[in-house]
Amino acid sequence: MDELRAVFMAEAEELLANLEAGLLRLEAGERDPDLLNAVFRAAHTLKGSSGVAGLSEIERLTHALEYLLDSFRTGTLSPTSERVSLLLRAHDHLRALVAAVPTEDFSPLSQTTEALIAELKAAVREKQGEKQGEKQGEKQGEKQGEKQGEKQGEKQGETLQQGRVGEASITAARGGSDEVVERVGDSTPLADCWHISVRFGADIFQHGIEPYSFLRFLETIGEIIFLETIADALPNDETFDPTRCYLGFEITLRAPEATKEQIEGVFVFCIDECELRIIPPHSRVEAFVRLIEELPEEPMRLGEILVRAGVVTKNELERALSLQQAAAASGAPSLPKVGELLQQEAAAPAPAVQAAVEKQRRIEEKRQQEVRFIRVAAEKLDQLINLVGELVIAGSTAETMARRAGETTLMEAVAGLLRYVERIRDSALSLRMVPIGEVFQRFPRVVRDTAKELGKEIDLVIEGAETELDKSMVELIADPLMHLVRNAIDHGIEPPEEREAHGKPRVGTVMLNAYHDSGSIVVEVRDDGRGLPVERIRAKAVERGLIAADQVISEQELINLIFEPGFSTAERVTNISGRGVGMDVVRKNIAALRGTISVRHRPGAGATFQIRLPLTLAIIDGFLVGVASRTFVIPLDHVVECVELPQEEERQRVFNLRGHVLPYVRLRELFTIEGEKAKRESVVVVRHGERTAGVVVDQLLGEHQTVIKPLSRLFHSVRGIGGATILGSGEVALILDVGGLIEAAERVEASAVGQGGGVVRLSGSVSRERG
Amino acid sequence: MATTVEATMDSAGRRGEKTGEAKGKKEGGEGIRVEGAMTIYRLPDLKREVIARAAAKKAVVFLLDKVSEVDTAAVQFLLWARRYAAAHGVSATVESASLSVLEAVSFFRAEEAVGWRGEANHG
Repeated sequence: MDELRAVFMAEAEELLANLEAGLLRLEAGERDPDLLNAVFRAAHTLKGSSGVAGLSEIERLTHALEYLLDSFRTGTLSPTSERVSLLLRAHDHLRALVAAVPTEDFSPLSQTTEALIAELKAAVREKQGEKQGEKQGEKQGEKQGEKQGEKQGEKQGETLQQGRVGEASITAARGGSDEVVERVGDSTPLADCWHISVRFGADIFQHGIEPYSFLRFLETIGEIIFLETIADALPNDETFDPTRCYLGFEITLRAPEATKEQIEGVFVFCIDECELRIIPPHSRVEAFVRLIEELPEEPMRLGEILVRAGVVTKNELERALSLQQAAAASGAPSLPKVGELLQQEAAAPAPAVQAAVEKQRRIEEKRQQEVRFIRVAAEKLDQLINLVGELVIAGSTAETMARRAGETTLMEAVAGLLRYVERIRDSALSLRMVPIGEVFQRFPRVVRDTAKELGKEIDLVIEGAETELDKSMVELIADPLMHLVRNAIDHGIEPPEEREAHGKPRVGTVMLNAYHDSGSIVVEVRDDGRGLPVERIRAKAVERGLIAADQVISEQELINLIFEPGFSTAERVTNISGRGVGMDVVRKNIAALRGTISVRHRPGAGATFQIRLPLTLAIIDGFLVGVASRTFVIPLDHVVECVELPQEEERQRVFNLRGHVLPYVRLRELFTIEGEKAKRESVVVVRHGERTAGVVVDQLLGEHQTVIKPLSRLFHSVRGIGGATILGSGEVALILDVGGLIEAAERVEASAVGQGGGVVRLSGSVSRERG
Repeated sequence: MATTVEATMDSAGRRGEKTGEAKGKKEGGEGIRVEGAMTIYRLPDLKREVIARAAAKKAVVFLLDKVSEVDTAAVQFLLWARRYAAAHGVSATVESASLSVLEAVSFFRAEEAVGWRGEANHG
């Protein structure tokens, strides 16, 4: 696949996500013009990119999709549920087409593509017919009424056709345009109207910009009172290139509520490819004179058009021009143009000046934004982070050597170096951080479709979408989250009638939330459904032999059984969930990210699944501890404090930490480490989520920047260890998985209590066997 | 494009691209019939057709009642065709137009400039 297509695929993914999100908001009833713009822009950009990449199949479908979206923008059609559903189907198919780009084999998809294009076009055409019928009816009515003859008076066609009025003098123009002035009603200009003058750049058609769409969109802001197509630049010979634009437009728009920004917003997609001048209502006539000066067409012809547009009267225009001529005749050293005079005149509004300044500002902003973002291949970042990892290790080695050498100046120099290494490390890692919103944005669609399928009414609330985590994790967390959300909809949220019967609102809520918490990122899937069926879980667990029928087990432990392989309490198998596979896979996937999952529930009020992941997969601040001759690393973010282990607590495997009972685990026993026991042992108090425990070690060795080297697949099932790292001395140290250790400590504590203090044998690793 | 069927015929039958399509015949003359989308992609071909007709001193007659979609470039093209024809001493008119065409042309207030003289046809 060539580079162009690779870039297209990356772009398309983002654009399709925006498109989908926008369509869902439209379906939910939002009618914000900005939203319509955003959806249209996504489709429009996708069309352009696919054209550039030579993907005509995608281009054509997007074009048809854009056409229907444009009908929403122009108000010709409203985004009904059926139409949005059609657009969503087209979006889904576009995704399939984009996915087929690497193979370039679109043939299996062609039939659907054509069918969708036909459907999209039919959707637009059908309504066009209706609208045109209405419009014609209206037109006829108008024609018969007082405005009869207006059309003849317009004579825009004539102007376009002849295009040589500019040769006439003011007086001649005046003589010839009386009927035109009459057409605006009276001699008073349409002072309350905006005047918009636009000249499109020659290349806009080739860039996929469609003036018709933009101009029609103006009709959503106000009423187009006057429009004249300026075709002066259009050749009349064979030099005409039909793919270039030669047109401009003079438009009078009645939009008392509109702001200049709103009108400019219509042209936002082509602002750099057109000359746009907007003259606000009640502007001085000089503003129009200046417009005439600035535009490329003949002044007299433009004057005539403006008079016809009703924004100035002939007399006003004539007076302004003669004033200017008088200024010239008075022998002013350099002839000030009316526009310049206006600029000097502080009291006068200078909309054209403002427009120019604003345009410059926008161009500057755009340029700055272009500088702000650079698309970089992910492999390059990975390479950088690997190198930074090596730098960290080399730094540690230097530090160890300096310490051994005992030279103060060397140690100081190394310390200074390490400070920068740390900063480089943080900067490098932050390059890979992306907002979790990238994943969250898929869920409105999932919730919509799943809820529809199951006949449930569900609101999705998303919080913390801006929370950042490592890019690689974003990709891997998507599937587990998808499973949890589908589960929440299928098993958690009750059908609307059942909810009402329980005094709950008909519409259920599923909430996705993400936040940072002490070196971890927490992602929660919460629902306000019925909670977990504890009794069914128990029955199922007994049936599957996971627990004995008479076993005393806490509710939390019981609930945790849903993460066991093949465990499902669903009474029926649906397409969504209930096949008994899933939760164990969810846990396995999360564990592979060095993360943990837990669940809390309140019967009848809902459940919360909480995923806790490390912030990064690459480099962390670690705390070095020693047991006999071995060194271990505890991620520093999890370390709360270090205390000495009181001797008398030995038997219970718990100790009293300022009045709190704290379970602990002895690394020496956990990993069956040989060697003489230290006289004084220390407890490193670690926290994972809301749980705390102690890790008993021989020595506390201090902080250490740790580059995480993943363990081979062979060790994936070993719990309590999250990875390995290389120390400054070249020695390999294991990185402890705090979540796993706390579980081990709790299990040891439970066993100790249950068996009167007997020691549980944990051979080599923290196993999954229960005491 | 989904609907690219086009029959552009002159009296000698030259440049006929899809002869299976109904030939544009209206008021005794053969016209340039466009079907489906009349957008920027098709205009270079249509331009050649207009030039050929003007060179043969034949009136340029557009039959656009089967046009499903029209863009600004197409309206601009019609403006050019009329000017080009006039410069070569022949007329250029739009004899029939679909609602899409009519809507766009009337939005641009260009009915006369493109030589529109027919009635809307719900093609």
